[in-house]
Amino acid sequence: MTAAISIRGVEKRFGERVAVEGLDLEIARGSLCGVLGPNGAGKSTTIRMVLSILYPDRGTIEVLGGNALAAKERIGYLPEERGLYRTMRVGEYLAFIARLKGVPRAGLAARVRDWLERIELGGVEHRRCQELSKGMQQKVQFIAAVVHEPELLILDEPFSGLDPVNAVVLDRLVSDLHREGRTILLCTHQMQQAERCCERLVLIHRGRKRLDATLPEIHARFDPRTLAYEPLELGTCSEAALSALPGVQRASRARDGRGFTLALGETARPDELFELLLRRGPARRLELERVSLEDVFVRVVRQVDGESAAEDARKELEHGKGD
Amino acid sequence: MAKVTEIAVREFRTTVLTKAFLLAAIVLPAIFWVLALALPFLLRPSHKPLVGALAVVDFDARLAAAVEQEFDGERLLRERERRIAELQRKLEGVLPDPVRELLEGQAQGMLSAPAPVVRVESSVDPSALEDFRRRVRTGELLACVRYERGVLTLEPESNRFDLFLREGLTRQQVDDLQSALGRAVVTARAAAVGLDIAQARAVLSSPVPVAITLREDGLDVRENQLAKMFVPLAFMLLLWSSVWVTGNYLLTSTIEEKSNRVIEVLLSAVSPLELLAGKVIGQCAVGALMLGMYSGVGLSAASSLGYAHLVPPDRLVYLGVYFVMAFLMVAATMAAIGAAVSELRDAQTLLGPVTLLFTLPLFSWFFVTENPDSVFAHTISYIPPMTPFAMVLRVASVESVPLWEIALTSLVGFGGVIAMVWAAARIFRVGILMTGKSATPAELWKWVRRP
Repeated sequence: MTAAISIRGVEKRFGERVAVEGLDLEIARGSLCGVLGPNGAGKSTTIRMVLSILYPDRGTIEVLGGNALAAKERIGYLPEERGLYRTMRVGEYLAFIARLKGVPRAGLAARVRDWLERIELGGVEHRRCQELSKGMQQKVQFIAAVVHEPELLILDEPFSGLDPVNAVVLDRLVSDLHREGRTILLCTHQMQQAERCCERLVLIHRGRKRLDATLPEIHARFDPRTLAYEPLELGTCSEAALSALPGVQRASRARDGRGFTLALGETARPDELFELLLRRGPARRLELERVSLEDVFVRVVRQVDGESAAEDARKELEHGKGD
Repeated sequence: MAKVTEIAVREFRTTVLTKAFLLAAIVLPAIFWVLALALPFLLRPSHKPLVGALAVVDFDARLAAAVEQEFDGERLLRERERRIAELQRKLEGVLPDPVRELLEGQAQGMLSAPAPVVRVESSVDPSALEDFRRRVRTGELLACVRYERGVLTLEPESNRFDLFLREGLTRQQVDDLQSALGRAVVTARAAAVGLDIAQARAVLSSPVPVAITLREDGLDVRENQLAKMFVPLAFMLLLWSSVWVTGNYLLTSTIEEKSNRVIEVLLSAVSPLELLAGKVIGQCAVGALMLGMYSGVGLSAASSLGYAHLVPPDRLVYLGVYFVMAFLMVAATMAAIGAAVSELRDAQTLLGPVTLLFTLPLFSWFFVTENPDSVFAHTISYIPPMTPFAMVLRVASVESVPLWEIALTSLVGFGGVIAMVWAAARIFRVGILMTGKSATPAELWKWVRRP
C-alpha cells in the first residue's frame, strides 16, 4: 500500500530564506502523525506544499498515491490562521466549502446538519458566522475541514484557543476519524496533546526533519536512565551509599529535597535496582523516570540551534580569514 | 468548472444580495429620478427684484430717458414675453418634450416673478456724481451710473460706462442692472440715428434651423445635435460605472478573503487560477446585471421620448462587447491589486495611477464625441486599458466607424485583456498568500516575471 504522503528531497525557498530543506517524509495511510516544531520551523510551508497551495523548488511530493493537485478533494485542511466568511450563514458556508470539495448537492444539507449535531452545534445553521463565539467558529471551521469526509486530514493547531470542554469534543472527533481509517496529520505546539493522541511524531526545525519516530522509540532513545527514589525514612539513606549500588553512576539529592535522583550507567538493570532498593526498606516513591515530549523538543531544538550557531560562527571566522 | 461556477455563484449572490448593492443599483438611481422630477421645483428662481432709486449722470438727457424706459413696468413684461417665445422656438425639437415643457414651465414661472421698481434720478452736471456716490455709499441709492459723452457716437474708447453699486446687491440684481443700462445705450444710439430698435432686433434675429436626415430605410429623422452628444456620454457612463463598481467589489472581496484568512481554506480546495476565474465570472455577472438594468431603463426612457432611433441595436451589441473587454481589464487589475495588499487603504496607493489611466477617456468624452475621427480619439482607441471606453464613445458618436477599425481595435483590446489577465493571474498566485506588508510595484513586476 502506498503512503498517504510521500515527500522526497523537498526544498522551498522564499528569496534568500530557506523555508524547507532536504525534507524526506513518509506518512502511512491510516496513521495519526504529529508534526512538531517551533514557530518558523517550516511546518506550514510543508503543509501548503502537500496541499499544492505552494510548490517545491526541488524534490517531489505524492499525496494519496498521486499528484497533490489531483488529490485536493480527498484532503481536509484546518489551517492555523482560520477564516470564515463572516457575513455568510453557517449552513451556507459549510455547503459552499463542501461543494468546492466535490460533495454532490443531493443530501448536502442533511450532511451539514448532521455534522453540526455531531460537534454539538445543532441549531446554528441559519446564524451568520460573525454571530458565533470564537470557540463555535473554530468548530465550524473544523467541520469545513471534514465535511467532505476526506481520506487525509491535516489539522494545524486544532486545539489552540479552545476551552477544555470544546477541546475534549474535538479530541473525541479526531479519535473517531482516526478509528474510521483516515490518515491524520496533526501540527501542534501542545506536546501533551501530541503525546496523548499521536502514534508517530515528526519534529521539524530550521526547515529540516530532526526527529521521526514512534512514541515508544522516542522514549527509548531519549530515556533519561534516571531513578527517582524516595524512602519512607529519609535518614536511613545517604548519597554515598546509593552511589555504591551496582549500575548507579551517581546519586544526588532531589531538587525538592524529599528523596534522591540516581543516574544509571549503561549496564545498569533497573529491575535489579528496584529489588535492591526495596530490600533497604519501604519507599514512598520508586520510579524509573520517563522523558517528556517537551524535554525532547527542547533538547533537539537547542542541539540544532547550538550546531547552527557553531556553523554560523565557523562561517564568520572563515569569512574573516578571507578578508 | 463546477468549482469555478460555485465560486462565481457565491460571489454574485454575496454582492447582489447586500444592502450596499441594492442602494447603489436601485435606490440611488431612484433618488436621481425623484430629484430630476423635483428639479423644476428645486431650481425655481427666487428672484429678489431691484427696488429703489438709480442715479444717472449723463451729458444730455437722452440716456437717462432711455434708462427710465428700460425700467418701465409694461416694457419689462413685454421683454420677458419676447424672451420666453425665443426660448420656446430654440428648444423645439432639441429637447425631449417633457424636458422642454419643464424648462418652459420654469420660464413661465419667471413671468410671475415680481418686477423691479426702479426710480431714476438724473443729472447732466458731472459734479453731481460725488453726491450720488455718497448716497450710494450710505444705501440711499441702489447704484449710480456715469455715461461718457462718446458712448452714443460709437467711439471705441468711449464704449463703456461706470457703475457704482451699493453693498449687498445679489449677482442677479447686478446682472439685471448692467443689462438694462447697456440696453439703454443701444436704444439711445438707435434713436440717435433714426432706427426703430424693435425692428432692428427682429431683423437681426437668426432663424432656427430644422434639419431632417433622410434615411435609407425611408424614415425622416429630425436632427438633434444635443441628443447626439449625450448618447455617447450615456453609453460611456453606463460602461464605466458598471465595470468600475463591480471592479471595486472584486477588489474589496479579495482583500476581505485575505484579511479574514478564509483564502487558505479556499486554496486547499481550488487552485489560485480557479479562484480568480470564479471571482471574475461572478462579478462579471453582477456588472452585466447592472448594465442590463440601467440600459433597460435608459432605453425605455429614450423610446418613450421618441429617441429610440438614436440607439440602434448594433450599438447595443458593441456596448456588450466593450463591456466584456472593459470588465476583464478592470477585473484583472483589481484582482491583482487585491492580492498584492492586505488592507483596503494600502490598495489606494496602487489604485491611484490605475484609476487615472481608466478615467482618461471619461474626462475626454466631450472632445472624442465632438471629434470622433481626431488623432487623439484614434490613438486612445488603440491603447488597451482605454480601448473599450474610447471605442464606445466613437461608435455611439458617429454612424460610420469602419468595420475594419472596430475589428482591429477589438483585436488590440482583447490582446490587452489576455496580457492583463495573464499578468494578474501571476500576481494573484503569489500575492494571495502574502500577509503583512503590501507589495511594491517593483515586487509586482518580479512576481509577473517569476516562472
